[in-house]
Amino acid sequence: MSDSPSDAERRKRWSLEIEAVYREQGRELWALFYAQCNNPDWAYDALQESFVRLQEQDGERIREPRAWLLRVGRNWLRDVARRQRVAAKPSEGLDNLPREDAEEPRHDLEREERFEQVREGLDQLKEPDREVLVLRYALGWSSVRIAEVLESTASAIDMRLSRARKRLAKYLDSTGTRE
Amino acid sequence: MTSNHESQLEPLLVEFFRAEMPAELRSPEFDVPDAKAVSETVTVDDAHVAHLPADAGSPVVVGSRPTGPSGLAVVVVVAACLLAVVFTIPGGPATPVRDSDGVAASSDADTGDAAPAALEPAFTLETDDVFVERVDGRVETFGAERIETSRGPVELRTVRETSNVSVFNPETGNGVDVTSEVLDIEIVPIDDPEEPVGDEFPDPRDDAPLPPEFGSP
Repeated sequence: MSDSPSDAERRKRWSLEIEAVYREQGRELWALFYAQCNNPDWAYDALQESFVRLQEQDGERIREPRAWLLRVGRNWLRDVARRQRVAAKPSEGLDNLPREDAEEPRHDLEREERFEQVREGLDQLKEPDREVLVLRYALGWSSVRIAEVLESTASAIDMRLSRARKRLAKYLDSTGTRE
Repeated sequence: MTSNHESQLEPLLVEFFRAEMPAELRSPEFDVPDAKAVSETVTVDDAHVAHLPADAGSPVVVGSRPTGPSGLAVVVVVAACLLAVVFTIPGGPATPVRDSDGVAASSDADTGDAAPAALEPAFTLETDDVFVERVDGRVETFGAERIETSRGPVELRTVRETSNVSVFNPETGNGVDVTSEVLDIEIVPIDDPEEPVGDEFPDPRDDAPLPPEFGSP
């Protein structure tokens, strides 16, 4: 059964809306997913998955696409984490391969090692601490803007940032990571 | 202890997250300005203290953000309401009409030979030689709104005021009283309180009273 012109038009409009949301919110959602799972690839997969599912929805029923995407992506990540635990991390080897989309091949072994320690350090932090770090340093957001998104205050965000940095620095010190 | 790492941590984290972010999301089309709305606005000079230009009826303030609960419009026209009462200066001799030599001419009441144009009752704002005087005015509403921009926080201040302006043409002796509404929009940079000066955790001793030897102010 073919769609009526109005249905086709509506779907086209919805696709355009989704594209706009993707451009405006893509980074932020990726950052929040990253904070949850501490894995850039999973975060990206969660982002793609949530948008694919959004595309399948009836646009008129979704009033807050960002909130919807966040919830879907987070649930998807929880499922992935659960499956990982059950399946004894089958893709661990693949995850450790250099990423294809890296800006440049990571020839620098020391740099890669340092990054790995940062990754481990972030893994030691709680999600709220990771959240502020990724929003500040991945997206370059001010404390005020982070506070808006996390429904907090700028001073609380500053404190959380400071605490997160100290904890991470302490971890890196303990592993002997040096510049 | 951790100080060494803390100083190195920020650039390290920036570099780390740059590498972590997927290439697609790093592209500039994903750049979103650090503000929900940045207004490009112009502050309007008070139209009533200056010589009115030819189109003085419609100096325009341009803004892109509605402000305040009253829903002040984005574009406001000064003198939107020319509620004026156009009047001819009542009875009696008008301001003396001057001739080309600057010598005051007699009124037609005296001689009857004054130039007819000088007595023309019609008055238009297109005349260049008018005096504009602000009689009074009052502020109707005032609003201030903080906006986060990529260059730091700014405050958007809007003042709507009503002015009674008197425009007078001495040549013809005619004048007009105008009630005009003026929306003044200012964007003022304000200090960013999110960047604490010094320690993020203030020393509680800072608030402690001074020892007695320092006395009190």
